[in-house]
Amino acid sequence: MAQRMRRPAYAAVLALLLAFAVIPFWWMGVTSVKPDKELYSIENPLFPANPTFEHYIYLFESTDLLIWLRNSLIVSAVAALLAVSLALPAGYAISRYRTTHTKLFGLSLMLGYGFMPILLVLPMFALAVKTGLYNSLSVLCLVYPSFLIPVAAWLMAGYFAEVPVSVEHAAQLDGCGVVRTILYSAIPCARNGLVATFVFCFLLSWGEYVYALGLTSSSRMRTLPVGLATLESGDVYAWGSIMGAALLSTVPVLLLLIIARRRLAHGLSIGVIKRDGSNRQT
Amino acid sequence: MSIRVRRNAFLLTVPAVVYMLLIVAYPFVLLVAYSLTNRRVGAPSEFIGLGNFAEVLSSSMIWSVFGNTIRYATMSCVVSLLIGLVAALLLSRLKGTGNTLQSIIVLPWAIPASVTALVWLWMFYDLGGVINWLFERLQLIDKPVSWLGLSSRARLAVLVPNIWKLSPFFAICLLSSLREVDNAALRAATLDGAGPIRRFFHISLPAMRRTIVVSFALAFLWSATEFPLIYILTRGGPADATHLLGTYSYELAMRGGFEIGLGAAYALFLVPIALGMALLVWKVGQWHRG
Amino acid sequence: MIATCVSRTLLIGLVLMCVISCGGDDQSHAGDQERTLTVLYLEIWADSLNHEFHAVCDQWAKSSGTKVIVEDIPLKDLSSKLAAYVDAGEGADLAVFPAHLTILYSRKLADFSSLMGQVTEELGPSYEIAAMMNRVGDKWVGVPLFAWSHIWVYRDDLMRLEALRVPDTWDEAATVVRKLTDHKKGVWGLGIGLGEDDDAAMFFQSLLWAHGASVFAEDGQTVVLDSRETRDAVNWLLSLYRDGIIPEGALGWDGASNNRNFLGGTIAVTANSPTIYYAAKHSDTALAANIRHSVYPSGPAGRYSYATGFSLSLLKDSPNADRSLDLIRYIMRRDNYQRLIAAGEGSVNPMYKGVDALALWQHDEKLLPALQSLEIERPVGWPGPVTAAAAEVFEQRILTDMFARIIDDNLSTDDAVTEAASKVRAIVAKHRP
Repeated sequence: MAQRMRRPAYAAVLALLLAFAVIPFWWMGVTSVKPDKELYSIENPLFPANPTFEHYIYLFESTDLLIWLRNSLIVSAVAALLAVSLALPAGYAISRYRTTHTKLFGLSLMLGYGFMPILLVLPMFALAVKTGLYNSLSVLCLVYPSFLIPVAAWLMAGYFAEVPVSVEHAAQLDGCGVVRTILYSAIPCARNGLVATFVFCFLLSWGEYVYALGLTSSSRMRTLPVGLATLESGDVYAWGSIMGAALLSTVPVLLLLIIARRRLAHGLSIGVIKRDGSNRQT
Repeated sequence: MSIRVRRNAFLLTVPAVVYMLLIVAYPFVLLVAYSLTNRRVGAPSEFIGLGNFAEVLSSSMIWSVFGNTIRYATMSCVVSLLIGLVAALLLSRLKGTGNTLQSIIVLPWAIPASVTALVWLWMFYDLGGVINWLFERLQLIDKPVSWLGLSSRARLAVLVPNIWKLSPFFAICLLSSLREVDNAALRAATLDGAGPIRRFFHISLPAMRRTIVVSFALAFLWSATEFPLIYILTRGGPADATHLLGTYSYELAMRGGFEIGLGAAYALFLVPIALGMALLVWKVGQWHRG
Repeated sequence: MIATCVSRTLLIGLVLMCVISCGGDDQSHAGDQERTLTVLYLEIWADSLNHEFHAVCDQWAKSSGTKVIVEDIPLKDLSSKLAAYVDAGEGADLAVFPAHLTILYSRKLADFSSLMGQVTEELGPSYEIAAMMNRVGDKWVGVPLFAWSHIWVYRDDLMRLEALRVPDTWDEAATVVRKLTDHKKGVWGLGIGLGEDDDAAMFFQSLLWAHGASVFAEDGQTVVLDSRETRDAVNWLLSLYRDGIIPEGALGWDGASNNRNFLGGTIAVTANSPTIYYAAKHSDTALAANIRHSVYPSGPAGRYSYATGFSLSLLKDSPNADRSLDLIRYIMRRDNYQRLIAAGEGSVNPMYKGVDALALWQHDEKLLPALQSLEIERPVGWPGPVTAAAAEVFEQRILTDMFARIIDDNLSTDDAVTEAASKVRAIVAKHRP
């Protein structure tokens, strides 16, 4: 009896939390279709009286939004791929081999993670200019894995740890060397984890701001987060467009999350102690 | 441990090691080098040893900025953790939980921080922002409040977007951790007559300890090094009230006096925080399997 | 099965998005270094002016056979981009510099003295303010391009309702804005941005100068901020703020907030460049008709307003110097320069006396005060020369923070002024050669 009465309360609280999460997105949408006159006024109605698409038209015609979107997609995908490829063998080594080397390596990776972009952006800028890579997408692709690899390696170590050793022993008995073992038995078993790691890295790159700000200067080289922020500058009052662009920039994220949701749901188990392989994927 | 195994372990980590040395270690060395000079834009730079650090420690800014950083990170993470915990508990009750729901919930965390900053900036506007409009309608305030213009309020206001962003992260992490709690133990406890609250505190919570610690440390690290949220919302103002170490270092180096040496010195104060949290993650997180 | 289908559809959607976004302009890599010029340009809110600048550069590119890449940089990023450019010594071939930065980096910039000779022949002598911001000794370190003026913007209809005239002095201005405030109607009399943006920093300088106060003395080294005149100036603003004539949130406004609030009707008077008028003309012509401008009011010590000028400049040993100078010469040709000023529609002032801006702006009398400001404008550091210390004081928003400390942290005017003065002295000490 008591339990059943509590359920509406639970639902209500959950609904409240969901609303808290979702309302800003809805407000982005509402703002982006209000004409400028409504946006200027202090009366900010919750529903647009005369919805218009003028802001979106402005975005596509007079700003580099599409270019920023393309840049973000390229950089995030390449950086995530690069990070996952570099971190995969490392993560495997950490989970399977307990040598002093791997322990030290794991530690230093984590410590390296502490050197966030905001710390390294100044010297990185100087280096980028010196090597002629300043203001290019390549420099971003090159530099992003620096904060992706530690996370990726650590996540994948966890996923590889869940792969039962028996599977690998079987492969080794069949005569597979280390590389083949990894390729043909460990990776397929940790498939979900790999996808989750890739998505995680993609999302982290997608939202990165500091390096993108510091290492690029022209609008054509900007990624989405930085380009968006430049729409709000000086005396220009472009909130309709800014919110429109903001909404557009969340769409790829949402798509990615929905597509990978099954693997992600399994994957985002940070630090969780999985029991005896009962959640192994085949 | 056979030599072959050691060799394998070593070789597997080489690509990552080389990369991190080139792209992280080397720039860090440069950063330290900058902090030991009086390098500024457009002027010759000379070695001044610990001069920058002396200046930093003797200025009043370092204490407020460092304090801001710690306070910001702590408060964001504690509140987000609590909200995330509540959300995780509620979500775990949903059957057939709909992974789609999870994808939507995690959206605030997944979108770029600059987007978060912009939408909250827009909502926080004093004349015409929706928050003031709502509060006035609900009669919580009688005239428009400036959320970002007064330092005390600004310090609280910049927390809100970060909490909005981090709560889903905690929710998802804690949810999967909750799911792994040993059902057998829970059932046994119920049979023993333990109510839900006791079950939670004595069984579930301890089992989730690792996840809580690790996700907290990560979120703390992210919050302490937050840049776009603060920069876009307040530029560190009003009157430097909301500056964090990272934003202040950037402002010194790229605005203001263009003092790269001094900016580097300030940035280095982030290192203890970053290293501390990273160490925590490493110690508590699961690297090895028995 | 359905779930898989949905997944696949969404995946296709994601891929399609990638393809569509590739429809964006294809980036041409700076392959042929010798035949490409990169220009760092300030992205002004007047879109028409930006387009015109691009057009002029493109024309030159065609006629000279050199490729020109113009990078639009918003104002708030400009200082840091220029810092990067000057520090690294590469990354661009020429750039638009906010005027005090030309002085700050003067050691690294080229000498434009001979080029200025040609320019003044074309366009007439430069205004004094242009020289103040671009000349170090006898050497010109930048070619003045344009400046935007700070003027006062009024809601003419509200003024007429109260039978008010455009104020001539600061005291009159205080009376006017007090009369215009009507909280019941949701109208604040004076809406000055007092936040981190340029608006506040510019306003404070003008406020101080009019009252006989300043940060530096004429020698540019002595700090005279803590004076009775400064306190008077601050108290002028303080009483308006405390009496609710200025919206409380002004302390947190960014550069566009006062524009928006004026256009939305919540403030009756503000100080700004002609951008509000520009925006109104393009979106709400009824309001545009109700806008009135005036130069800054006059105070006990005279009439002054702060000028933000922009110049073209490049580094001393730039590899493409010859070509860059040629481009500058082209931009500063009479017909091209006039195109730029005309396209600005009043948002920027020309820097040369030989240019009849009002004619270029279709004789819009409302823009006359913007041109009149040219005579009363002063650069940062005045009455001393433009120095690195003065520029840093401006960039660090010492004056804005001073006011915020009184409002926010309840410092007394005296204490806040004293604290600000000591901050300035610390900055001066840092810059001692």
